[in-house]
Amino acid sequence: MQKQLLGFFALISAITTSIMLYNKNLDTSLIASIATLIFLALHLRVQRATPEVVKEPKPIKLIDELNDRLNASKQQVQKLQAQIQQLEAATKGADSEDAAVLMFLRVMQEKSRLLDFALTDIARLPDAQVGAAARVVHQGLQGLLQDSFEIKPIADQSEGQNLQLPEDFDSSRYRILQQSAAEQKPQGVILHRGWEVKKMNLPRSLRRTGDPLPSVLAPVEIEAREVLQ
Amino acid sequence: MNDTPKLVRGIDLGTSNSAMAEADTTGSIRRLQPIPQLDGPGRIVDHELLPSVAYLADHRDMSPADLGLPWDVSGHAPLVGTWARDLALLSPEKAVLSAKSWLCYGGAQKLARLPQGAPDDKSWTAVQASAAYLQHMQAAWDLKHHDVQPELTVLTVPASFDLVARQLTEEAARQAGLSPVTLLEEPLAAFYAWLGAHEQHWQDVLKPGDLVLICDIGGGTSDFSLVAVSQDQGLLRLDRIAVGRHLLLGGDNMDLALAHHSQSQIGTTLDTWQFLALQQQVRVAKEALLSPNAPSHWPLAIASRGSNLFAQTLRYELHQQTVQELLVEGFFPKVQADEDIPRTRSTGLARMGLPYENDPGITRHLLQFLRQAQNTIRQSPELQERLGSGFHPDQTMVTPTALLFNGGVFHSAALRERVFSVVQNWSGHPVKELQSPGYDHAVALGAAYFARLQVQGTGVRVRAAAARSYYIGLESNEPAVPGLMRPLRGLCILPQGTEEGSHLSIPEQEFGLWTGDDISFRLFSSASRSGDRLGTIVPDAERELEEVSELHCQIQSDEEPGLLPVHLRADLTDVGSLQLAMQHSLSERQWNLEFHLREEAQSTHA
Repeated sequence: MQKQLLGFFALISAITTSIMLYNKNLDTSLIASIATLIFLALHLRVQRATPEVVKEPKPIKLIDELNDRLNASKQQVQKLQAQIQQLEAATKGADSEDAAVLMFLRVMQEKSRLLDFALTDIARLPDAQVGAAARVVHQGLQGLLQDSFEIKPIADQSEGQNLQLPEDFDSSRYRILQQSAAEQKPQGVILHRGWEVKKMNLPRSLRRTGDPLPSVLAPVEIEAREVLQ
Repeated sequence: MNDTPKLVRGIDLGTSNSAMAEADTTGSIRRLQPIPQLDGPGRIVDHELLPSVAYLADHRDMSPADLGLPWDVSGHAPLVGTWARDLALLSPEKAVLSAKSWLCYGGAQKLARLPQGAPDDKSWTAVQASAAYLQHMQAAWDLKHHDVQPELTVLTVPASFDLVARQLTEEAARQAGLSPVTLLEEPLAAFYAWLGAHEQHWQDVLKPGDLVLICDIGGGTSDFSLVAVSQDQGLLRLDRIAVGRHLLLGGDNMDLALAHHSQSQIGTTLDTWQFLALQQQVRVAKEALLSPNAPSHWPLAIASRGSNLFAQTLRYELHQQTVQELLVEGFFPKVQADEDIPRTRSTGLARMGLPYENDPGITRHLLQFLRQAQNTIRQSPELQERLGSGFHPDQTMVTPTALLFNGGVFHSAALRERVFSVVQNWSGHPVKELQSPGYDHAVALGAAYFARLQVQGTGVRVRAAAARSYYIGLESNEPAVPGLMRPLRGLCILPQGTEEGSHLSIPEQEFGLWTGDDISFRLFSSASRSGDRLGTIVPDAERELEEVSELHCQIQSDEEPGLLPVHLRADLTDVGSLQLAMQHSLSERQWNLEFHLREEAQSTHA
């Protein structure tokens, strides 16, 4: 009777654990079900063991054994939980990066019509038309870049000027082109001043992992008009 | 954690944009606090300015998921800020715009529902809208400072705000959970920002006898103030001696003028969306073409709404010459000091909508302000004494010796230069330009600086006595003549120049009050009658004064039977709000007079 009770408690604890886990994070429902299964199995084993247990002279021992098993399965659950968290973090990163890129694409379309510009075939269009459209895109994009980043040239000198770099220059910031191996000193004429981001002020969202990706880049726009019958 | 310096806050609750600045009481920090706001569906950005626009969305516009904010994930807070402004341009019938300007106008207008004509559940009063903007900024503050509240919040109001508009602003702050707040006039806040930026050496720049003109031109409104510098017991003393009236004229009018001109030149009818795009482009063009070393022309390109960007994009070149003629000559004409200015409007009591200015000439309004200020000083011996050699009785106008610009319009160097040269021409003597620490940000920063001075209790102060005088309407005692309306007389209860923290009472003017009645008075004010003293009677209040509001009080009949002899008592509090009471002539008992501002009472007027 006591053992059955224990098994029942184990089941209850599994359910409460799963509820707890479920509440902590929507996506741990997987874990919750695993935990439930483990305890269900445990419960069944206890029930199967019941006839033997009746013969046991010292029920205390069985309780200890059950406790050990319980602890072991708890540890197992914790291990699984950690694994799932790791997996989740990995997918969350990728998922939210995708969402951020989509969001910025949408802003670019809203502010500068970039998609309308880039997704049209302009091969046969006269330069004047392309030029006029480019001004729309340029003004919008410039405003958006100024709002979202502080972008500065890396080199202070202007293009065409000589630049002498220290021996231990940062190769991610400076790239020396056409340098022969014989040439020792890192120096040359600036072809491009380079760009770097000093500050960022990017739009963000309250989107949670698992929410659908913001795949709409521009909604259909309809003007409310009286429709003639 | 105990030695963390205390924080104070300045809020510029603007007509078109609001801003919030924080400062610590040690003086090491004074900066704008970026405000998270929605910029599109579900998209949150930090901007230093919060557009003072609310959009009353319905479920067809967007879902609550699009409206989530860091402090309101479920998206139930009203939509204010950048996205609201963008939506408002396309659907103005659902937007609350320029709420602040509605607080400036008399009678029921102050509590008109916006947008006009919308049903009550889809509209707000200007107070509700102001409270929503303040609440948004408060939430942004809480998010950043983890619910640590500022020691003091200073909220700015236009200098031209009357006492009722100030009280309504305080009410909005209370609704937003901001109280206690201290109010500060916007041009003064801009001046405090300059004082704060030159804390150590402002006394090298300003000398006794200097008169500083603060010229504040925002998106939709213009506001002028004059500050006099004088010597008082060996120290420099600053007094705000005059404020202008609320002008509904600003930078947006200039963009609109340019956009209309460009549209007529393009020759095609633009749809609403294209016109808005055009307005945004001319704003950029304006700043470029009015900067030093400006190009001779600026290309504009207006796309159509459809996804084909190439076939229907319209082009136009805006010439520097055109901008110069339209904006510099149109809005800032070279007005001569002796020019006659036709009187266009006596009071701002247009019944429908806001009374936008008919005359776009800002320099003409400025000249009018300086002439009125001269009149004010002429009537007041105290002001003449304070000004000393700065007062020239032979002139028709006040001539400033220093000029401080504020407002986004003055990013354009050509406009600053024009105003400067016009004022210099009027003055006939050299005028100093005080360098603003930021045309868009000075008001919020100055308010934060002022908050710091208040909390510390030290440092320089600009004394700002009541800029307007107030009157209550009295029925004439003349016999009634059929067909002839008896003029309403105005009894001066608070003269212009009354210092904050004053208590006034008029014992010789007794009223008889019937108990049990709801007694109401009409409240009037004037910015141009500095000669009036306490108890002065203006013969025709309706013609010579501006109506502010209605006052009322009720004396329960169980308190006292019959007719009570009372006189009026006025207290101007330290924060510049007015309290009026009826004082029993024979005892210490008094009954407060309240502004007739209950919204339910007002709705019957509408």
